[in-house]
Amino acid sequence: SGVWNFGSLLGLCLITQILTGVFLGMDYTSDISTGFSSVTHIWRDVNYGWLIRNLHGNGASFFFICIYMDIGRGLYYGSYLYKETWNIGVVLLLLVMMTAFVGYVVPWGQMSFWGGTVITNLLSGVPYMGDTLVQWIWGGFSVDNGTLTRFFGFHFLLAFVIGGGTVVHLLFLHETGSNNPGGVNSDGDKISFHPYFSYKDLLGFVIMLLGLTSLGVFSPNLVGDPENFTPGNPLVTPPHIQPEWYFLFGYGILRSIPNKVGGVLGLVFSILVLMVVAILHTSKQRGLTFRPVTQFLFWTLVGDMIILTWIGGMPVEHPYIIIGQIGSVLYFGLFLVLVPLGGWVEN
Amino acid sequence: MGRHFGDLAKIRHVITYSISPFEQRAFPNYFSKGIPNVWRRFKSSVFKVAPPMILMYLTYTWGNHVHEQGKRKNPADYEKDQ
Repeated sequence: SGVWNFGSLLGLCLITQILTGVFLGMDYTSDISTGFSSVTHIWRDVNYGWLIRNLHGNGASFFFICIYMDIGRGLYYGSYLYKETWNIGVVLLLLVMMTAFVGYVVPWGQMSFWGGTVITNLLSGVPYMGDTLVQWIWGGFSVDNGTLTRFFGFHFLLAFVIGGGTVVHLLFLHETGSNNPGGVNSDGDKISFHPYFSYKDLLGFVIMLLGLTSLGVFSPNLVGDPENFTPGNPLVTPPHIQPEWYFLFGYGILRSIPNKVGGVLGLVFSILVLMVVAILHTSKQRGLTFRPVTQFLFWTLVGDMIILTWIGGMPVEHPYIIIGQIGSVLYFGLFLVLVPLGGWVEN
Repeated sequence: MGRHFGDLAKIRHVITYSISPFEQRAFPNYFSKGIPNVWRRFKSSVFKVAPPMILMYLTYTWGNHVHEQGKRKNPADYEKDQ
């Protein structure tokens, strides 16, 4: 069905990000004295620089829309039972998150600087060598020039690491072939890629590019933070430091646990929990198509993630604190307890 | 590496029939059967999708309402101000 388009759409997203990113890299300078103004220069002076920057920034949002939909498809239809493909997919998610995080520091706005400071400081939770680790990543005693230059380098490099990971992801997928909405073996029912899937994928590309360009030209700052229009200043802390929307659910989980190490572990496990889904699969059926109880739990997970995303963007005040805590418990409870229980009940 | 076309599965006793594209309508009963079918698909999934979404919306509105209430100042505290 249409939800199988997100794999090829992710490939398109990666190519778009790399192309726009390479062109941005031709005019960007990764030094704290010129970084912010080089982005302004790209926007104002470089031919179509504003469009390239627009597509790159909003392209990151579409990357996450596609990856969350791809994961959602995988969870709903039991595609995670292709364990190698799935686990490489989780690694790809982590790589994309790392790339987006370091990439957001690059423009060196207020949110770039302070978001980078908050998240890199989390590494100090590592026992014994935490502080050393943070200073090693920073290349100094705070987020400064050393951090910016290396983060730009990481951002460029990680994009190609993702490309390599994508190849391995597809290699394993092609061992088994794709899943399908029925969750049944389809070895005896194949159709050729061309014209069926070539045109299907092309339609998906057109729709996504339409969405991306519409967002870029009609409402380019819809999902951005206005703080990032101010150059990064270590002496002025923004009142509400928050990451981009695609990280907010994890940010909500992180802040729900009133302990630094606990919060970091919550954040890390909110992604790594995906790796145990296959082990906890209890149902005799692969997907949720014929499983109403677990379908309800799936949509509860979707609602919970939207709540956690909302909470991640709110200040840490009543009643947002308790909502975030209940939401976090529900998130892990669904993966580890409720969904396996649902499968067992349905059997 | 992996499975190869021609060696994926052996299926026996399956008979397929087909009719020429020139002998049939391209989108038969698109509205007359399509619209009732959309309604059928909606009915079969609405009670699994809607309740979590409604709960989410209620949590959102309740949370914002309680937060706004907490920010209000009590007029009685300022009655004696000059």
